[in-house]
Amino acid sequence: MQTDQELISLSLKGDSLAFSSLYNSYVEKIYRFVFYKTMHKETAEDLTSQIFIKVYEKLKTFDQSQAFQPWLYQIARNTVIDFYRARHEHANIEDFWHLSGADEQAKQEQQWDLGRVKEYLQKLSAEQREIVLLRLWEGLSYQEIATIMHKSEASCKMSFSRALTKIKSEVLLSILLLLFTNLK
Amino acid sequence: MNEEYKNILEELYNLDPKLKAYEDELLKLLAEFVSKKPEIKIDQNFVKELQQKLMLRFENKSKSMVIKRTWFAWSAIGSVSMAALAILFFWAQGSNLSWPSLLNGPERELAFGEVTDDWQFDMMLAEDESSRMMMKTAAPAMNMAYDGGGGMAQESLGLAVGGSKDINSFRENIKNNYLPLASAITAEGLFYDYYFDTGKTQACEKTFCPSYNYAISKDPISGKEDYYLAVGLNSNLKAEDFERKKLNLVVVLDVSGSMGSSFDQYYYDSFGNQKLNSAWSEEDAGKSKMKVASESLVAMLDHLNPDDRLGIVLFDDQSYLAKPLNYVGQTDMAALRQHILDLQEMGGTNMEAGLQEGSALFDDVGEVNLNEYENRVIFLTDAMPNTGSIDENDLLWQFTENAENNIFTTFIGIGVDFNSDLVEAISKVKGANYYSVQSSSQFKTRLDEEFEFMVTPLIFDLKLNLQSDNFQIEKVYGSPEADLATGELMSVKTLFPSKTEGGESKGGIVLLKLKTTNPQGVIKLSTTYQTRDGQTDGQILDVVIGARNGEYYENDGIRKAVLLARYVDLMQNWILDERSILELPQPMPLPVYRVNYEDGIKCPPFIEFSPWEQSSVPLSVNVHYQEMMNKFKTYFQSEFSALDDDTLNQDLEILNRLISEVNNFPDPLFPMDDWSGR
Repeated sequence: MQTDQELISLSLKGDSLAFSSLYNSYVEKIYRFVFYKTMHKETAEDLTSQIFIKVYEKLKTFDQSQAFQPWLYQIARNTVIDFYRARHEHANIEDFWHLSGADEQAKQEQQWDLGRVKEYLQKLSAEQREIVLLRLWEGLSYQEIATIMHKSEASCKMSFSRALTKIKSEVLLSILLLLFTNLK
Repeated sequence: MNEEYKNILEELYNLDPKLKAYEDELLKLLAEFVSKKPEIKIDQNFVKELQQKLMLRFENKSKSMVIKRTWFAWSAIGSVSMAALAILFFWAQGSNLSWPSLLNGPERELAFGEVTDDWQFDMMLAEDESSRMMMKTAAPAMNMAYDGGGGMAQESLGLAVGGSKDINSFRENIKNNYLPLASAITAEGLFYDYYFDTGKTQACEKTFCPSYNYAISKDPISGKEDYYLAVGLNSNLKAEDFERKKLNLVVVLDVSGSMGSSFDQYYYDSFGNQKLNSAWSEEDAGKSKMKVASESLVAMLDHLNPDDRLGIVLFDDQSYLAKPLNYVGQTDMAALRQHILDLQEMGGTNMEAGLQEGSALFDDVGEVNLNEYENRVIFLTDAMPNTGSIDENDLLWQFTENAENNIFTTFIGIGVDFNSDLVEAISKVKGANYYSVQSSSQFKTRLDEEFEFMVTPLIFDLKLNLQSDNFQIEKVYGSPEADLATGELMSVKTLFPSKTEGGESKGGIVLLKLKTTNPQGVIKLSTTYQTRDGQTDGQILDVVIGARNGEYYENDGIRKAVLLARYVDLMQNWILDERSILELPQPMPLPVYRVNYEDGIKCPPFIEFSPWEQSSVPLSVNVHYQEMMNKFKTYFQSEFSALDDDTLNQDLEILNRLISEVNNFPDPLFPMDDWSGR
């Protein structure tokens, strides 16, 4: 199996099959990433298209000494931010999680059965939420997350730790409250 | 324990060992998160369609990369539908052939395939968001062809400094009976209105070759001798060889409420002093600045090539991505023109927001090959901020930061009410230049002549060191960095190419006024500068100044530069004195005018950048300056005939206008009898 770097080199030499392989490896991941942030099938498809067109256009500018996946996610993240900016949703350009009341969102959440995870996520800042999801749902390393978010690896780790600590405290508090209520 | 959870927990404990006490809770939390990961299914039809679309683009790219190829039934393929191409692609996949190899064929033209209307700005949505009222009106698309560069073929090109490219604000204020700001007239702005003989005597082999010329000239007021050295800005570039690089161009356009003010209304400050501009041309009468800006922008589109990238950001009190940074060849330009002409003004002004969003577009382009591409932001505004930060330093910081990343700025001021102080500050940024738009047709002409030059900085950080036992630099004229002159050093941030006509170069000179007690001897001049590719270059030259008596001009270039530099000094001194009279306490002490018979036309002090807007002041020339200007006019007329340059007439007219101006303010030296009783 060819590595990303090999596929990129071949793509740049005009090998369309290599580019096609790259696309196949990542299209679902990127779609999922965008979907988490938009909760809307058509929008996610549209943005995924834009992202891969950008990748195709910019491949020659990609620094081949770096990893491909974070670069790709970086483009995806910027595209989503641009999408929200263009819609003037400045307050929450990072993701949809604060946008409430959308039918599509409610429907999706029901289908997903997020349970308490939704509550946990809503308690986090947009940045913490993104780091938690990229780490736990997408399985990206801190190094990759740091590149995507233009932050240092240490700051991503710290942000993740603070997020979990915050949730953990909330969980412990709820358990205590529950015990206290039962005792009464 | 799951290995992945274990790793995550280890990382957490490394950061905060106390968390180990909560391992059970954390494990449960991790498990809960992971188990709730939503199952998102992607539509496989979408996956295939996007793949086909990408392969089509891939094919188009191959076409543009290889211009000369053998023809292989291309006319047939050209009319095939996307579906048919997709079949071809999958056949290629099956047969293990690569897409480009299938298309190796005969000679083909560079092509970009289908164009798309990628405009994203929705005015109605913006209206909903900000509850602003606006009306959307359509305007006919402009289709103005580029004439190819205004007859510059066969001429060598010259160089001119960046920064201010005109003194329109100065002239318009006077024509409209307002006292301009002292900073509205700059030597570099004025020089760019004129052509100069740079005194080049040897063939120039480099991108930049300075030439030096010397002059002794009597001050027209005091009669004392002044000493000057002109630095001619020459280049080995030929007009016919000059080709600008491909552009990554982001236009940041102000759509704030102030852009709705009409071009036939004169707006100067925030104190309600708005007057009709009766002198304005009929062509733009009644047009809003927004209209003139959008027409100017549409005119600019004609200068872009298919392989340039163009992005557009709009801003009022927030920013809007109107058009992502995409190839012109892939953009539906007719639709884009219409979108731009449909724009209407709205809201406040937050320039920083616009610039931030515009700068962010370059993130998507990533690292570009600077030998191939030029990154530039063209910022169009009337610069009357009323929300957000009004500290120009924030904006300047962003411009400077961009320049560090090889993203340079052209600042275009729409209308006469532009704050030239701010513009000067902006123009000191590496690679930046400034133009003002007085009418859309005038700006279109300017673009036809100069667009290629406007976006092509050639030399950065030019430094001239002057070493001499007998001479020192007193002042530098023709560079926005002139205030940095420290006696020995002249510094110019950027040199752009400039037009030449009849061997003379537009704005192609920087003039040094010299201090000396013994005007003869050797001046050792060394220059260092950086070329576009980051190389440092320079030269050292000795200029021998012999003993001379009386007036002496080595050529007409330095003679014209001396005349214009004195004109700038006289005008700045007059404005400073006229404004200070207004501020004199009562009873007024006798002022010491900066221009007088003893000192002549002194160098004015460094003009400080003032806050954003200043109170408008009616035009006034006190009696003393009417006399000084009359004296100067005699000198100007004599130089006019010696230089035989009709373009000097525009500033002679200004002088005549000022000399005939009614003195609106009491002159302490000439008390008025203002008793109105009977």
